[in-house]
Order: sequence, then C-alpha cells, then structure tokens
Amino acid sequence: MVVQHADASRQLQKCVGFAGDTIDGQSLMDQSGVEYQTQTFSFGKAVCQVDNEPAQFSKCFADTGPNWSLFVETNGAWAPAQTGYTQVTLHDKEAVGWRYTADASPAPPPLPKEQR
Amino acid sequence: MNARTVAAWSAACLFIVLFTTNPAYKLIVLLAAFTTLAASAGIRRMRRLLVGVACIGIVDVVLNFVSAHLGRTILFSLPDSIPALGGVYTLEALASGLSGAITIAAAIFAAAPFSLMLQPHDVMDALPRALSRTGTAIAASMNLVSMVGTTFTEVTEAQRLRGWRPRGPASWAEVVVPVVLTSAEGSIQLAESMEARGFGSATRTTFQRPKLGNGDWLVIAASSLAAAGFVAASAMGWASDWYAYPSLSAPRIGLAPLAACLLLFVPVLMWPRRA
Repeated sequence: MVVQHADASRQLQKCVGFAGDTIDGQSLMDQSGVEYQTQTFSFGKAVCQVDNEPAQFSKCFADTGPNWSLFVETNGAWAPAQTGYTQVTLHDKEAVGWRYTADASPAPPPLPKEQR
Repeated sequence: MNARTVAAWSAACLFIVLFTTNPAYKLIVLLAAFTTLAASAGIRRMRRLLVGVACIGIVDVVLNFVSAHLGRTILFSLPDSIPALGGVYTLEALASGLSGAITIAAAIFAAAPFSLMLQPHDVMDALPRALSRTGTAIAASMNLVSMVGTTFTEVTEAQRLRGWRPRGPASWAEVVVPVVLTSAEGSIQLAESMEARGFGSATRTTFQRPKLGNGDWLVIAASSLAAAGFVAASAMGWASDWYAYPSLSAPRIGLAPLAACLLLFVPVLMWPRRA
C-alpha cells in the first residue's frame, strides 16, 4: 500500500503478505498497520483519514479542499479505482495507492519501490 | 423596538453561528438569543418555539449519531448486516450532532424576534424602499398558508356534516377541490383589495417613519462590533475552530471572540418586555 500525503515529500509504503491468491482491500488496510478512519455510506465505506491526515475534520468528504483518492496498481501502472477500497481485490505484487489531493483528476502516487 | 435594530442583531447572531465551527461560541450565541427572547417576549410566548426547537435538535442529534458511524470513541456497535443502522456508534458522532443542534437552535432563536417581538407592518416598514413591494407580496403569500389551513379545517368539517367520511386517498378529492377553489378565490379577493388600495401604483408611503433611538444605535453598534470583532479574532487565530472527528477534544475559548459573543447580550438590557 502506498500513501502520499498533501505534502508530497511525505510518502509511506507498507507491504502486506497473504496466504491465498488474493487479498481484499479491507484486509489489506487492516493488516498494513496504517491508521485510517472510514465512514459507511449507502455506496459503501469511504476513507476519511489515512495516516492521521487530515488531523481533524468535521465531515468525511470535505466540501472544499483535499480528499483521499484511491488508485489500484496492476502490472506496474496505476489506474483510478472504480470501486471503494472494500471492493478492491489484489493479487501478488499488486498495490493500492492513496493520494491526499484537491485535484478533480489527481495524478497517482509513486509506484511501489520493489517495481521500480 | 425598531425592526432594523432587530435585523442587525439577528444578522450578527446568525453570522457568528454560521462562521465558526466551535460549539462553545455557538452555545454563547444560543444563550444570548434565548435570554434576549425570554426577557423580551417571555417564556410563555416562546412555548411552541421551544417545543419545535427541541424536536429539531433531538432529531439532528439522533440522526447524526445513527448515521455517522465515524470516530474513535466507540460506545457500542451493531452488526454491519443491519441496513443503515449497522456500524459503530461513537461519542464523536454524538458530539457532532449536538454541535449541529446548537447551531440550528441558535439560528432559530436569532431569527425568532421577527415573529415574536415585531408586528408584520414593523418588518415591512424596515425593508428598503426597493424591496417594499416584494416584501408585501411575500408577506401576503405567507399569510395565505394559514388561510389554507383554516379553509381545510372548515371544508373538512362541512363535508363531515354532509356525511362525508375519509375512505382512502380518492375520497380526499371532495375536500381538496373546495379548498383549492376557496384559496384561489381568497387570493383573487386579496389581490383586488390591494389593487383598490393603490398597491403597485406608487412608492409605499407612511405617516411616520420609524426612527432609531439611542438604544437602537447601541444595539446596532454592539451587534456590528460583535460580528467584526469575531472575524478579526478569527483572522488573528484567536477563535480556533473545532472538529469532532476523529477524536473528541474540548473546544478552546479565546478571550477576544468570547467578548465579541458576549456583546450579543446587549439587547437583554435594551429591549423592553412585551406585555
């Protein structure tokens, strides 16, 4: 899992091992040990806070300003996630990426280091 | 009591309540608005308003507590399999709902003097000349709401006397149709009456323009100073915001924004008690 904060110099990478063929997004987030907060909406769980960013908030999705964007990495390329993180399923050497940004079409976070 | 003075005070209350996220300042504004109303209008006249505000506040707190499922201080949790209700119930969601309820209550109490302490013609007179016709039209339209309610009761009673009984949605047509026709007739009569009295023919005139006394100016000055002082305190970083999530923290209170909020209590001393 790759996390890129609003301050681009703050990056975080966590690798999670798993026994089966795949791991779901919820298990990945839980096993990564990275702090995160979610809120359940009708469409599923949304991530409000990752690695203590933002430090405080009054609404999960800020009306203005940055929010967390989710990417999924497959075969060395990031793609914006088409589902919530709980619906993501990853195989070996795949990754999810979180980027805290206000951009409507944000650039993905840097690729995981092992694949560079 | 001058309606423009009330407008200035209400605007300052609303501004501060909506400007800050800090429930401590919101609570002070709520207390100022409540005390002012209680001192001027009296608790007895506020009864219905208090019940309404209490109901809205309780709904807001419960709705946020049940729907947020966010925060670190978990009070209890329900299985995720329960639609809408499943998830964690947190102290932060409760506090956030409470803050929202304080905001709504303060806003309602801040606007309440227009209906509890002023007559409709006072409000009309306070409007700028350019808005007088629009204001009259809106006031007349608002007045029709209660007229429709009265007509509905009258028509329902009359139909019952003729043997009508509610038997499903279709049967209500026998009540709704006369109510609509009577309301339309009432609107036409009102329009004709207003036209006969010269509405729209020229600028609105009055025998005596309401004047601002020393007390009014004092309240306007205090209200303006409260709003401006709060903005200045925020700009200086003295009026810190408050966030319910992810962990609950006590709201911090600064002396300057506190003083600004306390200025909203000035009408308690200045506005006379209504009989």
